[in-house]
Amino acid sequence: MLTLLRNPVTVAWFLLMLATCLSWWLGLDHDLSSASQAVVDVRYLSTGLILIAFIKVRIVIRYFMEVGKSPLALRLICDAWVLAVCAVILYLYWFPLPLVATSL
Amino acid sequence: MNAKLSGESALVRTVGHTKAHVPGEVGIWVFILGDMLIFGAFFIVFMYYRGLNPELFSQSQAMLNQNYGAINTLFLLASSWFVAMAVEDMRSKQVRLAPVFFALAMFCGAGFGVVKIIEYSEKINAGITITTNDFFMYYYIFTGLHFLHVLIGMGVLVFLWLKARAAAKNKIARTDDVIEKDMVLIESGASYWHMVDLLWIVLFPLLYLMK
Amino acid sequence: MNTKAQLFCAWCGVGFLVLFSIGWWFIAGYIPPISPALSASEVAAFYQQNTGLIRLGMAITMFSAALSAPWVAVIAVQLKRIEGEFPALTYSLLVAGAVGVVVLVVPPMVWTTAAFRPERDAELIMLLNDFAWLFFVMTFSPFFIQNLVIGLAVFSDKAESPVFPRWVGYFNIWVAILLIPGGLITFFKTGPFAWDGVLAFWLPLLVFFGWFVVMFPLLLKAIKQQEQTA
Repeated sequence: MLTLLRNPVTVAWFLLMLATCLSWWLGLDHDLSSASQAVVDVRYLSTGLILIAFIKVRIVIRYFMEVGKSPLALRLICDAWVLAVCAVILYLYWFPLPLVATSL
Repeated sequence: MNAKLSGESALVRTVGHTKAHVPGEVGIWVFILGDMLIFGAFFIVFMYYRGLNPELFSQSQAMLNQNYGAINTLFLLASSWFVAMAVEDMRSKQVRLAPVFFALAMFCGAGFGVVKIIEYSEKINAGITITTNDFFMYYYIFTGLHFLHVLIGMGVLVFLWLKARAAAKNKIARTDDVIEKDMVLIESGASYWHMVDLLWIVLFPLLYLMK
Repeated sequence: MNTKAQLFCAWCGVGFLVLFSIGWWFIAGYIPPISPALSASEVAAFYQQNTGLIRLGMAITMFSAALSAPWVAVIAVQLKRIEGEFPALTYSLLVAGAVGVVVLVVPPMVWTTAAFRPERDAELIMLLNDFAWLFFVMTFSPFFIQNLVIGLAVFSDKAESPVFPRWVGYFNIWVAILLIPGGLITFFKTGPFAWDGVLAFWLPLLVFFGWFVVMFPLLLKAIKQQEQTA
């Protein structure tokens, strides 16, 4: 059983659980407005939540899906997905686009 | 690390992967990457519409119960970990714990399903449906399609569990050929299940958390 | 062994794509789709202004739709090679493919009905327009079954040199799942899940076209392989 706990996959899992609990806590309705000093901009909070999510995604890809040990091409495709989707989500969050078409 | 473990039969990793190796069969990656592409498009469309009407999305999100989302994330993460442990065990000559791990993974998957059904019925009883507003349209369609993936995944896990049980019943040490053949199926199914997990990891902050 | 008939059927798939695009897209102008959010008079105006083109385009589209029948049939022939004596999946493909032809033939007939008397009440033209679009985009189920059974049959191929490589099975099941969002268009007039939406229309359309493009060379290869082994 001890060997299980020392496994890198288990360490990865432990980090993932911690990150989820952190997101859970960050996402709760903290009464930000009443704390008179240093009101945190919710946009930084949301950015943090998205970044945590995509770090978690990359850990899942690397350690659970074992892409870390796979050929370079697969590693690059997976990382490209993580980077591209994360970047577009954050871009659209900070700089919303106007309505371009109702069909979108 | 391998030298240290060599005395213990349960989790000895005999098939060491020193060479680069695609997990499972190559074909499953056509499906996994294809699905990730589609969900990537879903996430981006969601963010575009959120930007058009952030107030509506925030107000609607406040009606969701974040605890359900968080508990389900933990369920899927635990399930993924059990599957990863089972995969490791399946690489050994004598399979021991893999069937137990797969069973625990299924238990967590079922837990996800139960929470999801409780959540849906709460929303529907409160009169919130797919046509309530844009936010709930995305909520129902995205989580619904994800739930479909979970259901397919549960079927896959049953299949992997049967494989693992057959391997564990076999008292003779398995040959490398047998292990390699089994691993193609086991790793394919496991990779699919991890993908279901990772899609939920993104859906959780997108739908439940971000302000 | 003579594979000429099979090759003819495979090329019918290409003919379907080309003629369907010409009739439905370039002549009748149904791409981009008429928005479901338009008013009755706006919909009627489309039919009044493009009456002749819609009539001609729909005649071509209606004809092209039946070319998908030989295409499905030749895929079925190759699946039969996998399945052997009791080809349940092959028969499922044939039945689903036959229904698929109906799904592709009926909407052009309804669209052309709308263009038959463009002077009639705008509300009635809108009714026909709605009917055709819902029938056309929402009816994903025969195509879903069609791709699903192809996928399952490919997985069941245990031959040393299989008819299709295994990734084709995963690809077909992926396509099957991608067609599902079309089933949601009944709920929406705007947005990504409306009948002109990015996730219910554009993406499935792209994938459906892509499916022909991917399957065509694989089919030719499978037919060639059959010719050499027989």
